[in-house]
Amino acid sequence: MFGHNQPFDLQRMPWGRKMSMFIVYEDFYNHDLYLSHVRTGILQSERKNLFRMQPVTGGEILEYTYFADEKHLRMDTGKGSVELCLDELDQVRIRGRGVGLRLTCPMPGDKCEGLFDKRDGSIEISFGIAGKSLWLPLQGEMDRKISYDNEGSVSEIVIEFDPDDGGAFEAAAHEYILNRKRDAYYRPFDEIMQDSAESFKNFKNCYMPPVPGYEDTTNYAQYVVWTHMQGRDGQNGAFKQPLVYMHRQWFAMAFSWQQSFNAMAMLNDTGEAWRLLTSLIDYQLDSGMFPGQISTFDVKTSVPQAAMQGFAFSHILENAGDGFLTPERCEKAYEPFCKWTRFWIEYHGTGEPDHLQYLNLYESGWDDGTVFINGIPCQAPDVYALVSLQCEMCGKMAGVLGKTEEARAWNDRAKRFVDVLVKDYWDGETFVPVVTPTKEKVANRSLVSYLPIILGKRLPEHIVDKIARTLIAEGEYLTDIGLTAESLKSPHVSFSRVFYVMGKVLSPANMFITVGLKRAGKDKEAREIARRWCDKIKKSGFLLGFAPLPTEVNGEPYIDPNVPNAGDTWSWTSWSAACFLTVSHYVLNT
Amino acid sequence: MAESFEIRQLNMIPFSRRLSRFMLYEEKKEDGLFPAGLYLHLTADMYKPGGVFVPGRKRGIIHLSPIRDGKELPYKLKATPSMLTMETEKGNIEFTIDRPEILRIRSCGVGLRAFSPLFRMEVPLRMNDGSLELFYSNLGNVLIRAIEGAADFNTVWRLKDWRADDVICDLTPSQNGIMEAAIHEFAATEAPLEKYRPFDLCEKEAADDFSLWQKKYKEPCGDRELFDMATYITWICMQRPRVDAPYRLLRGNMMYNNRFGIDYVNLFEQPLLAMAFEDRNAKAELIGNVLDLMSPDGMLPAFTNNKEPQYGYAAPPVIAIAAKETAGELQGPALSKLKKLAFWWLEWRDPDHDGTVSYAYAKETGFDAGLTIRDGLAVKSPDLLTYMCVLSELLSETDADSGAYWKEISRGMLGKLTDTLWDGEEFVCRRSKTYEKVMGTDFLGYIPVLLGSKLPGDIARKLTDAVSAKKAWERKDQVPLAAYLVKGFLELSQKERAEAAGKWFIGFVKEHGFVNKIGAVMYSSWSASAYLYITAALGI
Repeated sequence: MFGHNQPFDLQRMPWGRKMSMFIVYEDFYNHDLYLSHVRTGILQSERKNLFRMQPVTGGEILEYTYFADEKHLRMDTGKGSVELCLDELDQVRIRGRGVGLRLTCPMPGDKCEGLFDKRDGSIEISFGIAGKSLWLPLQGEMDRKISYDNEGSVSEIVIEFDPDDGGAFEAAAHEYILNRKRDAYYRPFDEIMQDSAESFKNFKNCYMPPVPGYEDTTNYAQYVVWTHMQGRDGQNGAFKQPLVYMHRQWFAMAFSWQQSFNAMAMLNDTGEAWRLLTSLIDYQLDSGMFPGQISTFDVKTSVPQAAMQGFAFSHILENAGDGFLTPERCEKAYEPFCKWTRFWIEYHGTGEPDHLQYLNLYESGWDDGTVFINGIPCQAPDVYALVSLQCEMCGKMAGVLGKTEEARAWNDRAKRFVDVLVKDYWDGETFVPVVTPTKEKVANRSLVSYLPIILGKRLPEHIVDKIARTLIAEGEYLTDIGLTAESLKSPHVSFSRVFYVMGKVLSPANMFITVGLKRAGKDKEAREIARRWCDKIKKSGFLLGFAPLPTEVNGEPYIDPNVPNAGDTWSWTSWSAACFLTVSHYVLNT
Repeated sequence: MAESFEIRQLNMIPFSRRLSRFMLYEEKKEDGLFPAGLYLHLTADMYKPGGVFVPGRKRGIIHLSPIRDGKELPYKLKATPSMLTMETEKGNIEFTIDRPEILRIRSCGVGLRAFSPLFRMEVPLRMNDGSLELFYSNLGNVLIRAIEGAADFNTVWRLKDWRADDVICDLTPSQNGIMEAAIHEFAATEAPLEKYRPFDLCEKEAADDFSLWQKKYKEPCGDRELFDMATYITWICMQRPRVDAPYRLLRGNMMYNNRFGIDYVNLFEQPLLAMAFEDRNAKAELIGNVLDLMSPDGMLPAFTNNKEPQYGYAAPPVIAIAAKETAGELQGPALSKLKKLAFWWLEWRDPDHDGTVSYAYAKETGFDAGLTIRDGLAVKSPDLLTYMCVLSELLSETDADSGAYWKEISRGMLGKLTDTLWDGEEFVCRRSKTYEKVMGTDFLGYIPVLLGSKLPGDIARKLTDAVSAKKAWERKDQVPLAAYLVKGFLELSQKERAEAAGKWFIGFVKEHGFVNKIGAVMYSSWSASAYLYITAALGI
């Protein structure tokens, strides 16, 4: 899967395992592998560089190649090898044959509180708020060396595992926040590896079979989502159930609407899809709002994310049937989802009946979209589409519960939002947003203006036809690798790293549009766009966004230093993986 | 009392109110983009100076200035615990805090300009009803609403900069010359109230709340102004769990160290905060809330706020010192948590298995540069054994089932302290495994004075002579620790020495203010509590 002589390496995507906080990255600058444990609530926190791993023999550092898959990570030198595997709790296991392993932790004093020798053969290293790890040898020797700066703080910790006389060593490390002792018993290494493989294999059952030609890409996508599923209980944290992180570093948190993106991809396990879809109910506020992000130490309530559940729900219904929608499930989820939907309708109303607006750019997910160029609050077309589908979702659940009148009311409301959208915002060419205080229409060429295509055949045919014609035309939004988030003809288009939706080809945008076109009966257009985008993902991996051209449209260079960063052009993300899984199955699959 | 007490150092201690995140404070100097003057800010719950995630924000969120006909006016500030006033020649602007999450403003003859420099990811929003909402990323949200008069403001968005133009919001009077406004702070969503309570009522309630708060402390024999200031500081440092945040770490109202920069609960400081109260129920409540921060396995974090707990190292069990004074008022759950705390130290911090607990990390002492840990070997320290001795003795008196067990533990801790850590002249720290002496801050060796008459007479004599000879209370850093020496001297009936230490601390406060160290930029509840404790204990 990853490594030397593999399609991808670990510079952009860490090796890991579902529910394990350990990750291994290849450092971009020195190309060594780093073992870290990542547990943070700080947006854009970088935590990939705790322990640098280097195979050693007789004190000499050895060069190595590596290979990593769902079972293990292996470092091969000319003199022996080192392997790592992860369990689903808190443990990383390491074993070596013929060589030892040195782990160097160069930490400034304020990041590392120190090392504690527990005098039972194990040592604990504390990284303050970020957590602790406990290290112990199971076979062979463990040595450690601690260096201090002039002020007495730890400046470096080196742990080295060396083979015994038989040439082998084995070690374990645990990560945790509070306190831990060594286990009384350690399972065999091979058993943990097998367990990991089994876990991944079972996880893959959430998804439909891969589309021919994209088998490997599908496997990678599933691996990304599997490794990003986090949230063990019992560690004094905010998780109430497992959620899918966006990144394993940088945006190492579970974003609210991304749980729905993941749910709609899991058509082969509607139970798991439903679990993810309803996961934010655990955190719902009195106002009905779902928080924006969840991580170990924080639940961010300052801005909600767009109401995506209705869209995901309708996708699951249409493709997997409604067998999963039992009265018991509806009983638990109906009121919370009604509350969430009413939150959008009431808090985001413009004052005019059935008119909606975004109050904050970050609510929409199109953070720097040109729909907002004239400011906020802004009546953007996608909010109507998403809230309409939310109403439908409530109506469907009401129906299951036998609440006939409520079902009718929700369905009527859903239809009214579509009617208002078509009547007040469609100008013959596109949906045009309006800034509420001034009532001015916002001239823009953002792809989000076509996002209502997710309504499929709920839109009038002439609108569907127009959207399809616009989006399939070469050179407007369509490029060799998919649709750009801003038209190539827009004066604002830019592929620079500092922008998000100003021009790059973005995974969620392409998912929305291709799924919408297919729903609307525009299979040919949907497939063409999907094929281009999926091929790019297949070639380049699960980045969130790609520049479609080598320069800006006007020939000027754009800013993209292409070094590790929190932006969308560096790190793989589960968000892209989930979008790929949906698009490849639903749109490309014949 | 509140109405006669004036807060003079608004650059060192903000105008605020118990449980409120709002604060109004004064910046004396201009700093680039940020003018000098009065700022509105919110408790950030972050461990960063200024407490904000957004790079560039060095000061409070909103700069305030009086205006007339669009022009800013010079002003003087006057503040009591219940009201802050900007006095101008053309009229005054008054501020009071209603419910903790609503700041009220009124003026006659002048308006108020609220200037908010905005940074990336900070968003202004014009609401349907004409009010202004400001979203400050991780810090929180603010809603500005004109109750009487008008609010005029700009909300221009600069798309490519991912930010808005800096906001200027002018709150102007109506034709009768009156302006009234409200500022709400909230985490998620907020709507203006349909009806706002009378300003004077809000101010009176704030004043009454402060008066009630002062009654929890012993009436001063000495300087009334210092007493008022100290109780004001502790009053505004009380913060609450975030009411509209679904995951919040605080489980009860807790006293932060200060409101701007060290806006967190430092568990090392909590005993003094509790000991300063005369009201025994207040003591017990604070101690109970501290113990509620305990992890399931009995560990107290070194510090915490609503967002981030520090479990990287433990808080020393110093809470026992305060708990011992309040044993009669502590409820069952608090007592059982104290037991859990003792067990935690015995289980997780005795690597030698010799019944002597140790510090695994230097900062577990509560001192920033407390101890020299080398090679990962834990350190046995006299202060830790003191706390454990007091804790286990408390448990021997309160744990009906295991009193004898805890008595034995207490005796054992005292024995280890005097046999292992007393070198004949002073208390020392010793490394685990090797028992070699370890460099550490001297003060660790003075803490055993808190054992009072439990210490053997000759040790107590030598210890207190040394403390007195060195004037160990004359500190430059973590100054409030002087209070422990006062307590210790009193425990040993050495009143003169207690007074010497106490008077020094009072002199320090008079010269430097209620700070933890010389050069600190904000007053702290710890220093204020130390003052209140010392003056009450010594009757000065």
